[in-house]
Amino acid sequence: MTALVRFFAVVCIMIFSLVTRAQEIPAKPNPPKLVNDFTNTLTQDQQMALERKLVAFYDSTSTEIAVVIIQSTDGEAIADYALKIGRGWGIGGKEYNNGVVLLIAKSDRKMNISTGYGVEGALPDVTAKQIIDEIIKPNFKGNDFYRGIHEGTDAIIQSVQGEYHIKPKKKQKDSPIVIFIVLIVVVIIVSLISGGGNGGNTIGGGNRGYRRGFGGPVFFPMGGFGGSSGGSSGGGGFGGFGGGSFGGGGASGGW
Amino acid sequence: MIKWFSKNKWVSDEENRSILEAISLAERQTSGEIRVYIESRNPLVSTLERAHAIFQEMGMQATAQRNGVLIYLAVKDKEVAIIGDEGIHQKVGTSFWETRIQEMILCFKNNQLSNGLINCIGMVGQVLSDQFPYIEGQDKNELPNDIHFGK
Repeated sequence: MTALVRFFAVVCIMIFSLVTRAQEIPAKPNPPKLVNDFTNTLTQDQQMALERKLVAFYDSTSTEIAVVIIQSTDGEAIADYALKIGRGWGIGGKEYNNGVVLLIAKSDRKMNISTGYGVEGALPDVTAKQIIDEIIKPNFKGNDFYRGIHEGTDAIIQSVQGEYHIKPKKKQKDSPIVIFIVLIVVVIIVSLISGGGNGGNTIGGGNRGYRRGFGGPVFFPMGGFGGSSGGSSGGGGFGGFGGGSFGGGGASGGW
Repeated sequence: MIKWFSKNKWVSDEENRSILEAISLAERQTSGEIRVYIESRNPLVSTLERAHAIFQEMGMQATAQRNGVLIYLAVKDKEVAIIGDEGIHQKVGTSFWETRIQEMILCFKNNQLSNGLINCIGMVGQVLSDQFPYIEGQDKNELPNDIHFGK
């Protein structure tokens, strides 16, 4: 038994060392943090200020922006290296893949912004390149690393903003309501069917009733959605959809 | 699933950039804010209602002069809507929005998604700059300029 456990432990260690060897990236920070300076370029205060900003952004949007400063990629393409860090450390949740890695190789004088699929729409490569060229590079040339990173991450935050805190949150908020409504509808239908069964109707009739009822839950979530949105608008000026007190206007059409 | 759906597949990088450029160009001359939201299908029955919901979720009613404008597209449903907050709506009226929709539909029918958007952004920007001119030093980019892609 112990031999078996030992064997497994050895295998695990071997696999682990193989994996880390193959990636050749710094080990995942423990405890995990978003600002990782392996070159002591930033002061403790600067690291903490950046960390606070990025953690606050993560809290409100679930998008993880990691800053990694290394000495050199040892000849590897910086984009590949950044991608390895993003994947190896698991930056950005698995579900949405909304992670961003800002990698700086100090001695190589190179930097890279690499994005998970989930943020690619909000932060396309052209934007990332623009941020590097127009914001980060000029500061780094003046040897102001902190400012470059600070303003660079601000720009990343700006372009990513909105993409992730819209849909998923709404879903989470709605799903209990939706499940609840579906449950109620199902209970009603079941009681109707079993009640109707007494009347000696054909099975076909019962089926039809069930089917018509089933359209309910599909439609209901939308009602629930409108309602919850209206409710949350108390602070805003919209006043909800039902009330129709939206002061603005608009038009719509199809093509 | 979600990562696949949320990828922008309707607008090329090039078009994406020119749309963003159109937005920042338009906003340079005005204190108003313009945003574009694109998704494949509208989960609601009404296009306008969906646009309202997004307008609100994105916090676009938070502009000081109530002059945010949202252009909404549901590409697979072939639906388009444009809504403006009360500040701008009071100045332009419903006919302005309806004309924009007609123009966009004309472009979209010829598969010119980005052109339709850019033209519309330009027109909205012009009206915004007439009604809410940019004031040096006072205006700040209240909302980030970007296109939002839903599912």
